[in-house]
Amino acid sequence: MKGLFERRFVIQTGKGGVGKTTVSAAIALAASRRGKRVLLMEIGAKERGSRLFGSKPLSFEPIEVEDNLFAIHVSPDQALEEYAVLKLRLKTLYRAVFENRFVRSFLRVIPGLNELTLLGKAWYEVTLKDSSTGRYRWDMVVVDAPATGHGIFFLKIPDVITSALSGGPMVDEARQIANLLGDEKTTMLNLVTLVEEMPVNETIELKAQLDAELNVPLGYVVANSVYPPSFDAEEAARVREARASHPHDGSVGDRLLEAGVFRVERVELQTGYLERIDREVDLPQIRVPYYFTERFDFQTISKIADDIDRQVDGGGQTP
Amino acid sequence: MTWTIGAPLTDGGKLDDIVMSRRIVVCVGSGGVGKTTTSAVLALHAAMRGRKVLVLTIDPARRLANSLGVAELDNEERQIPIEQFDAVGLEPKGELWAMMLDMKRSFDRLVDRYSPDAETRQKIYDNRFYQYFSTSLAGTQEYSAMERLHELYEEGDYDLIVLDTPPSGHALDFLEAPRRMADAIENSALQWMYRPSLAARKFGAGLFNIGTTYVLKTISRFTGAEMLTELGSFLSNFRHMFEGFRSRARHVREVLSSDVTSFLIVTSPDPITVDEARFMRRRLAEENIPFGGFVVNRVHRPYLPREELETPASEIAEALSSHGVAVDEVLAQKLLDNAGEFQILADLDAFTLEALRERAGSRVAIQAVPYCSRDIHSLEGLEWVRKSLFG
Repeated sequence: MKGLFERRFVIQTGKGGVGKTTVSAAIALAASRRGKRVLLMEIGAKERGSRLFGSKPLSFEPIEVEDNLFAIHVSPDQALEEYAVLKLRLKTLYRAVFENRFVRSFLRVIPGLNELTLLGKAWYEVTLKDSSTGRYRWDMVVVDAPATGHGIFFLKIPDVITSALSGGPMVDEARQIANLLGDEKTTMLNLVTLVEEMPVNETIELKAQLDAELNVPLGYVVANSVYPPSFDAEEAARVREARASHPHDGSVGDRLLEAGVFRVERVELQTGYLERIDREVDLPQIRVPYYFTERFDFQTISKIADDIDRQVDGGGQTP
Repeated sequence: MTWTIGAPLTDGGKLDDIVMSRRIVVCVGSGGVGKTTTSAVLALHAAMRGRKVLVLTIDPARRLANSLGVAELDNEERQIPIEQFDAVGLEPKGELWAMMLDMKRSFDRLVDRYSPDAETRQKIYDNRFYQYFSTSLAGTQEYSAMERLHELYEEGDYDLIVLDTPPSGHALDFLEAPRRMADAIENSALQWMYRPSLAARKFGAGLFNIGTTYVLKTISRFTGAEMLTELGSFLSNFRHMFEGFRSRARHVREVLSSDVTSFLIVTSPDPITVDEARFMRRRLAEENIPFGGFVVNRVHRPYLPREELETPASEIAEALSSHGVAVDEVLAQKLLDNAGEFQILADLDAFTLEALRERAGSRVAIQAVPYCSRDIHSLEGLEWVRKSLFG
């Protein structure tokens, strides 16, 4: 199996709020530091990458946010326009038909069209070659997929379309995309999760669903926001003991012990969830530590990129 | 447990008033903020205080179901057995019921109810679009939840229904669902697909200057003709049911806008999420929906002021060791560093909460729930949150 940095199409999925954007940005940064020319593709309503890279807002045109690292933000409308113009070969025709108000609202209810054009945009970037050199334009395309609100609807849409319709352009598109998604040499899907009850449950369910319903090569479970332990086992025991024998009087010592026990308990809980992921999800783990910081900015992303890079070299962690 | 937090925590009474006096409480908020847990806690509180409560969730969080003492929640209402309360020493004066909405089945129910005849119903069921897309078509999830809520409310079996809504990042999808359904089905652009003559009368020129056939031909260069035909027949069959949908949606809307209902916005203290919460509050105001307050989950508690964190480790070691457990300087320093790390988060959270308080005004209930060192997935856990919410 080829490793993370040898794949050319790397997608992150997971529930809302687990840190897909952060992890995607860090993977892209790590790859660019290895000398790869990388495109980071953000999909969805909100543009977030500029905050992480301290760049101007991401848009449909790639901007170089770091050496070798380019980033775009793609909305369904923009992806559809690019695709339509490409297909119709005529911008004026696109304008006449697609920019009509009635047609717009009509297009919005065509099921799967949004998802398909977004995936189509990713497909386009992954397969794009420079005409002069004949080489791929990007060594790696990193996609921050929309939250798995409707299960794995987004990634399943090519399959759904090929089974719902018997033929036609949407089916042809869908087939091409499905082939790329299923290609082990090119594609890797990573599952991002927090080490908490609900996200871990959902990740286990997501993995089962992916195995059963989707043909996409899986890479890593990325466990995000893992507390560094602070206390070793012996110290943790002493912190607990001290807390038990200390009066709860609000003194400095009392408050320090309360904070200490909080850390010890959270770390224990997280260790339990990491073990559970290891038992129930048959994928290597990458662990991203939690950084206690006032500003979540490029410094933090940069550290996380290093954390990921280190662990991928070792083939991922096992507890 | 004693602790304080930057923003005042005096709003438990307002929340109590809401869950004791309203008939419907709706929890809205972004994904991952703890809406399901909050909904369960509110329901538990009202049940403890004597009401017959149903918590209606859309989140397939099985562990929560288990902790409530039911193996799995499904599309039917289930009462939480009294033994579950006994086991953790709780004595509810009322009843707690729960159910999980199955979107696909709820939508099928709608089709059953509103189809004018068996033939139309079968046509809809057989349509490939319906099979693949009924739960993902614009707003159908939210619409199903709303329908079910209305049904349960009209039946009147419960003193209070607490609704846990699907996550919504941007707007209140839940409220807008009926309108979006209407848009999708009554949409002028669609009508020219299955009722071209009517659409032409209604909207005249505009689109038709470029020619319907031409437009359809152009679109079908992407979608294929088959997609358009299937979609057209689906919508055409669906249209027959729409009158029923619409009048029902109007009813639900009336109930939700009346004083039997209160909306609570659940959020985390993360600034981006709080921004989304404030945006939702504005949307509620625009829609004339009664707003009850903010519940802010997972707020980091403050441990020590900055200057105390500067205390030399030797002093701490000495003070702590005097209570019988030896704490050396190395461990004392680690304890200081650890509290310092959490203090950064506590300060950030307090700052965000204060900003929310300032902007929301003093009459809005803002209730913070501290970040717990354990995950909340048992009645005991729910009770812990309940105590911090209601005092």
